[in-house]
Amino acid sequence: MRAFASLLCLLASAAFAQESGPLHRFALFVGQNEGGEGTKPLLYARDDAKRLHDVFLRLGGIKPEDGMLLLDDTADDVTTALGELERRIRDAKARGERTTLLFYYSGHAKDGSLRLGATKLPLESVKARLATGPADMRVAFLDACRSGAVTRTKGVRRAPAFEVETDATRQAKGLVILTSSASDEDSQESDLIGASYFSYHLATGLLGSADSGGDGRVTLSEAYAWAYERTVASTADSAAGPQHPTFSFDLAGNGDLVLTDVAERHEGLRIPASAPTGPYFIIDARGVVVAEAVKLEAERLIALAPGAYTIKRRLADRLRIGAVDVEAGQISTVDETKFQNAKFSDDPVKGTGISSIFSRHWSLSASGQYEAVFDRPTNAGGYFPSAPLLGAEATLHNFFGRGFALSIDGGYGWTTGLVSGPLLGELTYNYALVTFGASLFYEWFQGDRFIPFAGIHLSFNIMSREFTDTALAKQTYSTFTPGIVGGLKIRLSKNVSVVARARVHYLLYNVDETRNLGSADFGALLDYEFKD
Amino acid sequence: MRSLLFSVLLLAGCGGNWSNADLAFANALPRRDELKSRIPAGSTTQPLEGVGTRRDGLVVGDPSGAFAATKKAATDFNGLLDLILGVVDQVRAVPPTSRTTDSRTWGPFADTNNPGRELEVVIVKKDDVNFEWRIESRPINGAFIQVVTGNFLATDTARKGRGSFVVHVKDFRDVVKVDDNLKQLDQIDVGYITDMFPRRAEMLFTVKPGSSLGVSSIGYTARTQADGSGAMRFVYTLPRTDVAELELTAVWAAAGEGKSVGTVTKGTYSGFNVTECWGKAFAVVYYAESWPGGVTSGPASDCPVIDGL
Repeated sequence: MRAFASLLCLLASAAFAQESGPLHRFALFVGQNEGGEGTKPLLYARDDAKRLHDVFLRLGGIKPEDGMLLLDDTADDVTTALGELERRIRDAKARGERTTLLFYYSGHAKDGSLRLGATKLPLESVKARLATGPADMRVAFLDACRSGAVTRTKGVRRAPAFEVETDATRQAKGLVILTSSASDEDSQESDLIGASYFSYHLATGLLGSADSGGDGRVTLSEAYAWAYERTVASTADSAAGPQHPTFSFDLAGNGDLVLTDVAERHEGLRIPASAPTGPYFIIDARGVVVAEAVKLEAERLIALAPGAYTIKRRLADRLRIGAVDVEAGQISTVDETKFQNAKFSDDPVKGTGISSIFSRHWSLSASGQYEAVFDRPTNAGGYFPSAPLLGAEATLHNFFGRGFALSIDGGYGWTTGLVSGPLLGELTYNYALVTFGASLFYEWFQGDRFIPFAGIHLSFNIMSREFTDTALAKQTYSTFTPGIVGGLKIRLSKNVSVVARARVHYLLYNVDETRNLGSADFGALLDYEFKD
Repeated sequence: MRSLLFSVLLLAGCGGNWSNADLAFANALPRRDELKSRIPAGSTTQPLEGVGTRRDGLVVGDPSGAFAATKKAATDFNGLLDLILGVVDQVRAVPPTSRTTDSRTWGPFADTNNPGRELEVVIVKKDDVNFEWRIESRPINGAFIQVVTGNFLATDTARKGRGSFVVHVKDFRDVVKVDDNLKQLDQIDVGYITDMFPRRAEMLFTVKPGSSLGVSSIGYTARTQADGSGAMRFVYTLPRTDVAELELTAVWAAAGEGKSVGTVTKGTYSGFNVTECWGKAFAVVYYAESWPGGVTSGPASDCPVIDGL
């Protein structure tokens, strides 16, 4: 590793020693969940891009107008955006500014191309464009399956490769490409963290977690080292196997590139030098770990948006839990001595808010519906009347896997009916229907406002009628009614939805005769999902 | 295999007594409410005298003895209906135990009044409108004896029509618990019409020879109009020569006023009668004995006119 760093120094020493103009950073963040034919939609690529865009604009010295964010756009859009940034970079260079271009991509990659919806952008063309681009420093982050293919031809390593030259005086120039996985590996997403592993750890590292030097700045090598270690560790036990980020370089100069400056932002929290050493987990109000810091002897700075945070330390036999409020433009200092001891069962970490869409969670619904029985009218030989029902349901979403939901429901229906016939006259009765059921269904597009769903439903119906002629016996009938269910959930807010639903059931009647009947119910539900 | 499992699951949960046909069978059984005699309540101060006490005559303003006698007869009539049809009403209120296309069976149930015996009720539909039914009793696992047999012709709906039934007292009075009055009987025949007004129910009690009741038979006929007016006729056959048969016919309006005529129809005094009318306060408004020297009180024009019964 030292040989690699020394090589950087040698290559760069003559050519860039004299450059010292103001630094101007440009960035393009691309997130695309869809990969077109032969791929399954990703869940968090868009969110990854938005997260990194936010971090770099807050901490990375990128002005909003210089940081472009493309979500669900095509290859042509990306090419056009790159062209626009290159134009601005040339203008900046003409003004004597040093320039850096950051290119971040999260999405599918297959058969040597970035897959942007139905369009493709060849990896080699991206690499070539960055290699010949006008910016003094070009850094690409590619979070995609087998993205390591782009680094395979040069400098591929399966271990952190940078060693920081903390006393560097010359600015690095050239191209660095970081990829989320090796050329033969998949890049994995996680519902638990609501992101791809690589982008998540890269983002948390840029907040200050990766600042191993303790100078309040996160350099490219620090960020990569942090993301590499965490990504490999997080995926070591995954079904897809460990995922190894890679890098390649074509650099001159011996200075490391500072990606984020936590100290300059001056908004977050400080873990003072006096605090115990070891890992600290910073948890936001949702119960999501937004940053991790490994406290050594020196103090640590973590950039955080204003808000209330819980700090957790995990000791061998207990947790230490504390709270910190971060105010705008302020650095709050952690006082570990005020932390409370807690049991492991009281861990405040709940999971990411983002992943909760696809996480296993409950919802409760109140329903009103009308059940129509496919039968002759009860005054013409039919058996069961149609009736309105009120009910309640409890649903466990993402129960068997993403999208699959299991629900249990109960309902009560009532109406008055009339049975008549040649030997009956007209007999009026009060009808009651009690139902208990369970559904297994699939929900599409859970992250969207409109969520269609379809599945199967099995209900146990208990029907009874009491005649106004009290001399006649009360009659009951109970049966299982298998059926199908489908509908559309319309999300009104994060937790509240209204649902339009239809169910069709088979209904077997077998007392007077065997009749294959059916029923359909149409209803509306008000649904509340218990998720952060 | 999978479809078999599905079928088993489906059938395992199916069941009940939801049946339109059951209603038709249940309605074929006679109902106490429809056969009861509905006489106005009257005053509690009315003397409950029998016809045999009409010797001294009455005058206008006296409490009506005829009304009291009619009321007692109606009460007896209804009590007997309760006794006979109580079991039927209980059966109708529960679902049948088994069904065939043309029959419904309730039971056999344990007979709680007769430990060691069972009761069963069977209704058979003979054709589109004719039903036959029976109540049977047996020792557990023994042979049935018929307690009641009946038939019903549905002329309007199953609930309305014409029917009759026979209580075979002679066959069961010695093997099941019955009250002392029933033990004096051989048979009770009941006929009824419920599909038209006046609704009509008739009962004929055939008394066991040598019974201590003092009569050979007792017949009741009760009729009821839609407006609440009604009539009752009861006939006593007596083992004597002077009054071998006594018939009393009473009619009443919904408001309470009424008229009764008691006539000796067989025996030495055949043709003698007593006419008594009462007003809404159940006091005598007219009284007349037909035999020579008999008492007459009040104008005959004060008797109410009640038609259609």
